[in-house]
Amino acid sequence: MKTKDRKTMVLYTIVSLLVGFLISYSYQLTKEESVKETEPKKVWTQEYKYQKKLEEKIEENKVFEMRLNEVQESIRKIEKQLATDEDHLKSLIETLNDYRMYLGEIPVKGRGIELILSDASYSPADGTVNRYLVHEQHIYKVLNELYISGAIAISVNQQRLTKTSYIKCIGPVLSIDGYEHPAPFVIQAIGNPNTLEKSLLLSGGVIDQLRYDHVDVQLKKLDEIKMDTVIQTIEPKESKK
Amino acid sequence: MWLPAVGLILGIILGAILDIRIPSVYLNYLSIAVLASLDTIVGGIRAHLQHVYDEKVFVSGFFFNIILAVGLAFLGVQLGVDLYLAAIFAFGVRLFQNIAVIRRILLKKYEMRKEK
Repeated sequence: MKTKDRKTMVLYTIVSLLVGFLISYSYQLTKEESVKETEPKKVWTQEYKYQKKLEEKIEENKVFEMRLNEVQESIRKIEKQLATDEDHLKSLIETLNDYRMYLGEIPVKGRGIELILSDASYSPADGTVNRYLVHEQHIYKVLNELYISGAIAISVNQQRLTKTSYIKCIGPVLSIDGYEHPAPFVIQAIGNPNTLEKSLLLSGGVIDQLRYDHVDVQLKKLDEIKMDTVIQTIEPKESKK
Repeated sequence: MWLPAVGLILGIILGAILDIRIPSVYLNYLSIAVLASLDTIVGGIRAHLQHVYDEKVFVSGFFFNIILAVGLAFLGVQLGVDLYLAAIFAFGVRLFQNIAVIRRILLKKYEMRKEK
């Protein structure tokens, strides 16, 4: 009876152990499984949330990008405007300077040629001296030729000529804008030296004519000629007379 | 009588502590085994109350039912037929029947005691 009781007890123990094990193990597994099931769901919902956020941000970024583009476009416009304004201003200043140069308000320098007209060294004794001197019309011819062939600025004996300058013969000397200049006359002209030289040296041209009139002509090409501003402040000497 | 109780507690603790991983495919087997064991225990209690309890029948039934249920589920998985449903159905129905019988017997006993 006792051994049987013990046997029963052992059997029951095994059975109860197994039952307990099965139940708790199953419970445990089911719990883990449910956790496993909910976890991906959580992950998924989180992912979805982040995805949505990302999409929102992308959408926002698009708007910002569009705005950026607009702003950049306007900046470009302003810059263009500024550039054109600047260009305009630059060209304005350039033309202003050009005009000033033409007017002789500022000193100019550049390549050009130099002509020296002197009276003939030969002086006859028969009273025809006049035929061997440099006259105003000689100067006119030279100046006209120079202007026609594109001289930008011309000076005579370092005196700059303007569009309103006058040259007048007063006896043995020339009066240029009231300043007297004796021979020899150094005419400097800024411009393309080759063009100026060739136009002066045309056969039958200005220099030929001058030589025919016994004027001694020296022609020189200069790399740099400097000219001062037109003298305006000083009263013309002639008016004082 | 304290040994089975200790065994039960030990089993529960073991099940809770042991970190054995089994593929989720075999979870069905486990549930069926649990159901079979519960069914056997309830059946044993009923038999005891009806005074027809046999220890050999109980213990053999306990293991045999578990093995049979698990084997049936295994076969079902192999055949592609959800045979474990049959086991669950059979055990479930028997579980309820047994519990109903136990309830009636207990009620009868309670009433008899009351009459006394």
